[in-house]
Amino acid sequence: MGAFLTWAPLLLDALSFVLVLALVALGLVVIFGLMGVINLAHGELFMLGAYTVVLAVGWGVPFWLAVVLAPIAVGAVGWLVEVLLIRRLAARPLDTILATWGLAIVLQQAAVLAFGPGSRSVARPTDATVTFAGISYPAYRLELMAIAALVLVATMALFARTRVGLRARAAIADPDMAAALGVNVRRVRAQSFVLGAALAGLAGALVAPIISVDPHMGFGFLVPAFLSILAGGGVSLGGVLGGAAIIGGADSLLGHWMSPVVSQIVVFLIAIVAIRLRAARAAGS
Amino acid sequence: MLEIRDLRAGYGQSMVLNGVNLDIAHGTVTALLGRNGMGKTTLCRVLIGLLPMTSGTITLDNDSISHMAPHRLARRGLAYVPQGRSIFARFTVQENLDLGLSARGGRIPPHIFEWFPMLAELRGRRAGTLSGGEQQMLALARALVAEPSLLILDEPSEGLQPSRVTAIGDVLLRIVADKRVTVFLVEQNLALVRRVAAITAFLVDGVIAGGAAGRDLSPQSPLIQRYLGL
Ligand SMILES: Nc1ncnc2c1ncn2[C@@H]1O[C@H](COP(=O)(O)OP(=O)(O)OP(=O)(O)O)[C@@H](O)[C@H]1O
Ligand SMILES: [Mg+2]
Repeated sequence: MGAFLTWAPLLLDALSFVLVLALVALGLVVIFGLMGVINLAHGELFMLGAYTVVLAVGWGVPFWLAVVLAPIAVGAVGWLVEVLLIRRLAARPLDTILATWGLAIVLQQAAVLAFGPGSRSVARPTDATVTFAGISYPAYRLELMAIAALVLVATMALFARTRVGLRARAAIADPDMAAALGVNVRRVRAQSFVLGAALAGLAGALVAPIISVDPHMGFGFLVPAFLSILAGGGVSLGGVLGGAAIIGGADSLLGHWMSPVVSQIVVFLIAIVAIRLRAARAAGS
Repeated sequence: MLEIRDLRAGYGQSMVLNGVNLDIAHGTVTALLGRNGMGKTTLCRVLIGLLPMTSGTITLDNDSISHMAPHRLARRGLAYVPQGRSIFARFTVQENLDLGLSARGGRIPPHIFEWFPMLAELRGRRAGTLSGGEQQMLALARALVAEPSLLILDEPSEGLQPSRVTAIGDVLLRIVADKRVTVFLVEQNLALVRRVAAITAFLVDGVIAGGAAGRDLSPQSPLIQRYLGL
């Protein structure tokens, strides 16, 4: 019982990190799957989502409205980035990587100029706790988990079950044939970038009250998000969750009894093992 | 219905089509014969907008469609069954058919399952698990779901047993009779062409070298000897 009381909150913390990480990783996967773009500015889109909430709440906007506005604002930024940058570099993957890397730096510096180099915070919408089976846990984190899980499921359902999603999958599988059937492949790609950006923005908005918001926060999520994708096996939406569970779970739990540096190294080792296991399984099948 | 004038196209420096002129009349099956590598697929890809042309014009019902994007051409009523079918192997039969609606929305017309009864039972199957003949029927059905006015078929009989080729011929005759779809049929199968095509053109070295009424094409005819080297 005592072990349960100490472990349950840690596991819940890990789960909330996993779900947020999965949102970030899913955005990356959507963008990579549809556009072949490795978006190194994804962490900064996440950061913009967090700042949107900080700013909006500062202006007196209710917290939950700010959480709704953040993915819209970041999606709009994503749209601009797609039109002004990504579209012009179509079919030049290496240039796109460099361009998004440059964009990441620009966005970080813009955030430093606009909001200062220090960290900002935003109050949780509620300080209530929920008590269950002897443990009490912050209500906001439970709400965060519910929303993240819901959005993950909805995004997957969008791709798996709707006509729009079917066309997007067709554009991934065979863009020429999809176009010949009447799919506006370029528009589908632009929409996927907006969706991916919006997912990152939502993730940033949701974590704004529980981590410190600063111009460099994106990188801390980008690396585990990429590791999650690799560990989960590339571009399948289900794999993203599995990968996020491995990487985010390890990251979050190990941090409790190791120094950050050691736990990062262990997370990397776990990622390497997971990637190699997947490769071995793929080679075997 | 479709007029191709002085069409040139190719890949990089190498030109494949060197001034193609061809008319496709409304409500007919127009066939194109030609040896391997003569540029038949290249012509199809230009028509559907997947390959930019170097020069020339294409007119559909008196509107220029020379530089239109493929998805717009699909919405203008062009449908394409590529060589090798290009079905979405990992999608279900139903999903493949639904993709045929991308050009116009709406629902799958019920007559599709009259024309292709076997597809009704295969709806839930992954398209990649269908036989070659079934896949070809699926590719044809997927194109017809869009209720196109011009159907472009690139060697639909390739790799199929004779009974399947006959089935494709049946469908083509039927859609032309029922729905007044115009068909542009690229083929190497002379029997199929003789059965369904009103007019046959020959593509030789990137130009249309001659034409004949479909039923005049016997394997002994001098045109066939000359252009196909049979
Ligand atoms: N993507 C490409 N890049 C470069 N050359 C190509 C490409 N596709 C085709 N070609 C060349 O263009 C020429 C015409 O090819 P095309 O596929 O149009 O011929 P085809 O008449 O359809 O032949 P087949 O009867 O074998 O299908 C060939 O010499 C081919 O090698
Ligand atoms: Mg060909």
